[in-house]
Amino acid sequence: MSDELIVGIDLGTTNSAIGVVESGFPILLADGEGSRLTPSAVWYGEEGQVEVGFSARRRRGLGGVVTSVKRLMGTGEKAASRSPEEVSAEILKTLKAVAEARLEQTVSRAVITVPAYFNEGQRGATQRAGELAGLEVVRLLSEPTAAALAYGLDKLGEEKKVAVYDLGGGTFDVSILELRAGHFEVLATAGDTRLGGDDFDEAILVKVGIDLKKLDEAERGRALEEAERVKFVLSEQDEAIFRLPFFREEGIERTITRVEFETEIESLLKKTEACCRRALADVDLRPEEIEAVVLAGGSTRVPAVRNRVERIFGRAVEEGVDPDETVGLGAAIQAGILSGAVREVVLLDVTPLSLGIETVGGLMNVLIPRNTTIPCKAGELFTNAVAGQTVMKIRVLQGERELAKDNWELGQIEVPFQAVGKGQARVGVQFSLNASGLLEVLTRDTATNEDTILSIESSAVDVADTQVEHMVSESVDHAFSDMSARVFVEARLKAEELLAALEPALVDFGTVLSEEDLLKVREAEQTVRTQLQDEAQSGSLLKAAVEELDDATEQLAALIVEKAMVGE
Amino acid sequence: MNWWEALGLPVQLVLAEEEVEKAFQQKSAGAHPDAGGEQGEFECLREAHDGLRDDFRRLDAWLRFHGQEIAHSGVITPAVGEMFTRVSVVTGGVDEWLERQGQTSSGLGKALWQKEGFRWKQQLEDLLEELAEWQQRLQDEFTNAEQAGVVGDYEPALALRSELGFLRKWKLQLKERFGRIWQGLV
Repeated sequence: MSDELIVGIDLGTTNSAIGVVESGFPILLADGEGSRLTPSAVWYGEEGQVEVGFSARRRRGLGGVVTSVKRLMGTGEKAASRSPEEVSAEILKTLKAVAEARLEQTVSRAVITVPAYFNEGQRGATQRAGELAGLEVVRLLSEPTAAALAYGLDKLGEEKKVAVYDLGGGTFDVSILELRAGHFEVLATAGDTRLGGDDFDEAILVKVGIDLKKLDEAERGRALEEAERVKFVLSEQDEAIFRLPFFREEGIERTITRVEFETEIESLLKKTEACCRRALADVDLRPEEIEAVVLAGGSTRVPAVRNRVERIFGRAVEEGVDPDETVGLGAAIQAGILSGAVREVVLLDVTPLSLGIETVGGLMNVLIPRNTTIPCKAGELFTNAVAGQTVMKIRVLQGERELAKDNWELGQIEVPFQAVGKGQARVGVQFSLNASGLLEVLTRDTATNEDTILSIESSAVDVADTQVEHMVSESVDHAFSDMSARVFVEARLKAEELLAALEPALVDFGTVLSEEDLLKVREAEQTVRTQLQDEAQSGSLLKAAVEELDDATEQLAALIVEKAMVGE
Repeated sequence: MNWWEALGLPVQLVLAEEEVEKAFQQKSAGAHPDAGGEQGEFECLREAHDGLRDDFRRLDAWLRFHGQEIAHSGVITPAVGEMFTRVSVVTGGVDEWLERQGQTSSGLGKALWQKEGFRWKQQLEDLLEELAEWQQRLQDEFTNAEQAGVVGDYEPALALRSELGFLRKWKLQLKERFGRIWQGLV
């Protein structure tokens, strides 16, 4: 512990903030323009200029602007031909300068928040970004945990179980915590590092018929900006007009209702619900046992999100917490705990993902299960599988899947030892996970007591999900040289599935539908059947017909789901 | 490491969660690195806390403390055998359902599968409940097992250990499915 100043930083997908504890209270520091939030946008000029924040965001669409770089952390992908660490470091440098100007002293140590569900690679990249910005990162703190600290700092005497639902610009986390006598103990956490408000913007674009992939950079910038504006309006009003004049010659103008928007994001909300349910199941709690629900992240301003959260936990969310500022305030509190400015508070966080090594048969052998309190250590002894073996290869893995190949590989160590008979060599493997959730692996040949240490340098081993998706879709592209044929095959599969489901559904529920609706369903069904038989095998026509049928049976589907839920 | 000693408790098999919790809180005050504790100190206390709070691991450590050999094979009771089958039917069923649900792309198709999904969810809940009751019964026998141990008879404790081991494994398997089944439900 030292009394030297430590700042807390919320390094967000859309906005970032920096704060400190002053006289026992956490505060966020405002920049020169008086704003406590700095947009996480970086502009690189052609002559080497760099701008960060509002001025960079205003240039969006004019080239050289990087936004949402957090989504690329730990992936090895580049933005504006720079690594995500370098881009993030620019944002951190700007925040550091804001703090130095306000506090009139040098800032060199920081707590930086990361999504709870960030893996080793993503955490390591965040740590490196801090170092590049000239900051010693004394702790990486999970965002929902930070939000819980901000919520609970004035409730230290209370004892309660709290859920934090954190939906930011690009990531989603849910954490279940227990507050007791100044202890903030995380019991479980779950999430998705690729789900956030950015996806809501894209959902709006899908609704107005814009395919982001087909746009150039300037068009993308304009389209995303308008989508974001529409999203904000829809949080306040029942409908909004999406308007892009002179866009691709004719321009776009279309009214979007809140209901349409909510239908479009339903599948995203469902994903967050599944995470909440999993976190609750992990700690054996029922939703009604949660005594307070805290929201964090700007996307929780969307009414549909708030409603969904209240439905999952069966209670109203806590008011009086600013979802944009709470994570930054929590980071400042943790910084205060570490510097000694805040006392009587201890935070116990957990590791979000299981850590283990590969064993015989390509299976994952878990050494530290997910939701284990950190810091922690775990070890196991291993032996050689064949006589005369002189080296043992240890692959370090992170993830929840049974097969080693389905998890992230964090690195490998080769442990050399003396050739002996089968099962006679002994190699000890010890995992130690520090309070930032960063892993160090130590192996020891027990015969010689020789140690090998593996520090995780993950940027090279981690392949981004988006990259994999891209690879998969590319291979499919090649397999079907004729696009229409591919569309036709895909549509036919869906058509067959729908037609098979239609008869039993109509037997049970056909009578509930109005005559008009029933007629619509039958007509759509007929069109699909006609297109299936058609010799031309037009992909686009069949696809349109199938979508029509999917829409026409929406009410029917809802009825069936409703009945299934009440267990009839 | 002797977990009981680490937390300043006498070595005992019958041990309430609250006692472990209380001892941990007393010992860990100031032990966390953020509160000025020494490196490794907190990890040891936490390991002891986690170990003692888990029935199975506490029983296991207690047997080892008393020098008992733990056999990894043995006869299983009919009740265990029957539950083994029931658990694998449910976990297999849920896995299959999730896979089919994942392959379904239309709204109507997914809806038709919901009914079966909710049925599986109900079965998971029922089975987990049954296991919890079973576990409670075994816990109630800890007192007798501990007393038998005092006079040198560790058979009851060894039998409990084997049954608890199965329960723990099933619980994990079922809970994993319970956590995942929501991906396919509305």
